[in-house]
Amino acid sequence: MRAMVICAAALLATGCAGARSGIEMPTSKYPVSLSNGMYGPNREMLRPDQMEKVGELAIDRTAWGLLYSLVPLTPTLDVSDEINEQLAAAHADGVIRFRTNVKPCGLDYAFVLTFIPFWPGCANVEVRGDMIRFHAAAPPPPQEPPPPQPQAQR
Amino acid sequence: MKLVLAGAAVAALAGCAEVGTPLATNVPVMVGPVTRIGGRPAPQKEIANEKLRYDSDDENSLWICWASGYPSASRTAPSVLPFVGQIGSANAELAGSMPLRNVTARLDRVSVGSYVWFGGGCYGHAWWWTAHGGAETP
Repeated sequence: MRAMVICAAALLATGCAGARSGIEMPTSKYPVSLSNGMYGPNREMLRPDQMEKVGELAIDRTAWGLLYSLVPLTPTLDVSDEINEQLAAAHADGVIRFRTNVKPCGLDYAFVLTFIPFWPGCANVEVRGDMIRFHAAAPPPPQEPPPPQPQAQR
Repeated sequence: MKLVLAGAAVAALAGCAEVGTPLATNVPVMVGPVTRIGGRPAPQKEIANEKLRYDSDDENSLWICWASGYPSASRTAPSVLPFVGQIGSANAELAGSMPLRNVTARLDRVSVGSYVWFGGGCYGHAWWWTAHGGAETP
C-alpha cells in the first residue's frame, strides 16, 4: 500500500513542457538545400567553386505548445519572408547547409508549474544556413582563328 | 535537488540542442518550392510510392535518473546518417527506370520540437527533427 501511494505521488508529481512546430517556406523565391549540394540554372549539380558563401542565414523563432507539447499552438513556422529578405540583402542566389537548432525555453524549466497540463511550453528554434552566390562556369578559352586559306590564283 | 540542478546545468551548457546538422552529402536535398538557382516556384508532387518517401527523424535525449538510488545518466547521440541512407535507398529504387539526374530529393518542411521532463525520479531533456518529403520524379 505504501509503495502504491509513493508510485501515485510520483506520477502526479510529474511535469513536462515543450513545443513542436514545422518549419516551412511556401513563398520562398530562392532554392534551399539541406546538404552541401545545389542545382544550377540548368539543373546541373554545382561544383564547390561555383558557389561563393556570401553570408549566413540566421532566423530565430519561438514555437509554443500546451499539454506537455502534445498540442502545438504554432503548428508551422513560415520562414519565407526572412529568407527572401536576407538573401536579397546579401545578393545571394540560394542557401545550402540549411540546419536547425531547437532548445527548450525558460518556461519549460519551471518544474513545479509544469505539473499543470495547461502550463505553456515553448522552444527556441534557430534556423541557419550558408547563403551562396552562383558563379557560372568559366567559358572555355577562345580558339585561335584558323590560318587563312591560300586563295587560288586565276 | 543537487542532481536536478546538475542535470539542468549539463543540458543547458552542453550545447546538446543542435539537431539538424547539415546532411553529409553533396547530393542536393531541397526544401521549399524552388529547386534550382533561378528556378520558379513549383508545388511538390505527390509521392505515391512509399519506398520513395522520407520519414526519417532524429531524436536525441539526455536523461538523468536517481529513483533507483543509484544516479545514472544516458544520452542518445545525434545522427543524420539514417536520413542520408534513406535518400540513397530511394535512389536505388529508381535506378534503372530513369536517369537519377532527373530525380530530386525534396522536402516540403522540417518539423522540430523539444521538451523537458521532470518526475518519476528522472530529469529528461529531448529534442528532435523530422523530414517530410520524398524522391520526386519528373
